[in-house]
Amino acid sequence: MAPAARPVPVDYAPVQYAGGGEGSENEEQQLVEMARTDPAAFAVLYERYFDRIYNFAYRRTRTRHLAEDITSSTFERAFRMLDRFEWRGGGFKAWLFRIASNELADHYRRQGRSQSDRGQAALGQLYSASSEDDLERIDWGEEQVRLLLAAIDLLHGRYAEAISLRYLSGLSHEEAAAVMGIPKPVMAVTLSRALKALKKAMDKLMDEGPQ
Amino acid sequence: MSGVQDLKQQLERLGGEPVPPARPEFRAELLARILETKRETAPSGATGLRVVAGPDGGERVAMVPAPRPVRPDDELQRRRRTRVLAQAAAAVSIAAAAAGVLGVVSLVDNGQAPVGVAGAGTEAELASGESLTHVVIKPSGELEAEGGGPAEMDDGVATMTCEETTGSTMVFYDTSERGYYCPPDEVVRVQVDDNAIVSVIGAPSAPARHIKLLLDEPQYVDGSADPLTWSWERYSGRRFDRYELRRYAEGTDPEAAEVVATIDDVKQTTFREAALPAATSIYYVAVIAPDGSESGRSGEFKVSISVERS
Repeated sequence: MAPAARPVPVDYAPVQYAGGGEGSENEEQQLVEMARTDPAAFAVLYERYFDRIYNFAYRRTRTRHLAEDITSSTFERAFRMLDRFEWRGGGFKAWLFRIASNELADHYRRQGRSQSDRGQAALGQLYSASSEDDLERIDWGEEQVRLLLAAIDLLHGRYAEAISLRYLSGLSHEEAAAVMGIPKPVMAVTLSRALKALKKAMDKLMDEGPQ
Repeated sequence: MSGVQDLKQQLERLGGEPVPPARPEFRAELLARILETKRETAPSGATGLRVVAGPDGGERVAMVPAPRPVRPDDELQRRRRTRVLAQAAAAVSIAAAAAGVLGVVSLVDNGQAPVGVAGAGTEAELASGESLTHVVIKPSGELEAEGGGPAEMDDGVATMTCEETTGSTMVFYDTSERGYYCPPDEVVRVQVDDNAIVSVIGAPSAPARHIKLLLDEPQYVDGSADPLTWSWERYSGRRFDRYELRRYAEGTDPEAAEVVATIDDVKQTTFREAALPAATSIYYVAVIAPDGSESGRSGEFKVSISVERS
């Protein structure tokens, strides 16, 4: 005869959280509240947003180890500061992307010199092709992307943030505006000006050529 | 196709490209590290859910069915906010009088998603929702702005009546992307210069108020004696690390403003500056949160020394 099931004290009742995709705002709000004291709830949020944050960081840095660094510091910071998080426009996702965006900005501030290095490296590849073999070896698409990212690095922080959030994070216009804490029309104006500034930066990089 | 549109398409393609997945071990290790941190730092009296040792020696999530206690500072914050708002209302008339005497323009940030317009000598940007449309301002003619109605322009100064349409409040945007709240039925005069800067030169007669930001505009500027002194409403939110008093020269990029002073004490809401700027300068106070982002920003005010100090 099978032994009788042992009663499970309420303290040890398994708790199931919905994982996978993004839940409703209410569900996520409850999850965040639980995560303030419960690591299991935070783990659900982590799994929910890990790829999005990592992809954002990778698209911006184009380097796996940097993307991992940014992702690490974003989640570690979010975890440490969760008690201070207040639910507002955009919710937890906007807050998380704001942290990631700040981490990226900090990284590029600390690595100020490498901003121009990155542009120079990309330009060096493009300009140093002296033979047909060289030309064939160059991945023009990749170099163009690196040049584009280097030009973003040259922009004023607010413009770089607007472009990164809107185009490289997978966020909608409204979500990106929420992350930046500005109304949608202001976001439209900011993006419009950021794109113009980016065009100028690209032209400047190309005109100057490798140094 | 313009270069800008090309760039936009490149960015959209880049944003849609697949990304090499993160290393699974990195993903798992990071989560483990975070959860480990939590166990070390979780308060012993935490309520809600927590990880505890299970009956089989493993770990289980435990439910602690206790309501979240009211934090002592919640009530304090509410009372403080109420008091600050009352003080702000009382100070408005003083602020308006001081600004009028000195010719200081107090501009008010907005927190709404309205119809906005920024003008240049011949061209302006009209932002509505997510779209951005360029419209034309004729220096000697009318300014047609959605929600703003016609405006008369004389000698570079446009006078227009603010209107409220379909729940949107009209807001002017200058080329630095700041919006200035324009209360319905108030008449404002704006000046459009060659640098596409819109200056509100006739402040609305009714006090505009912040919608989202808890900071109020600077409340007075005392130009009667050196140095310049001004104050602002104390920040009452929770995301405070410091105030930064910033200054930039008129016509330059506000985001590249110089930090004139950093104040760590949330209660210190006045500042005196002995080193007066040589040219027309614009000041504002930013509230910086512990994570380095901005929690709020005051309205701006312009100090034109030539008027009062020559």
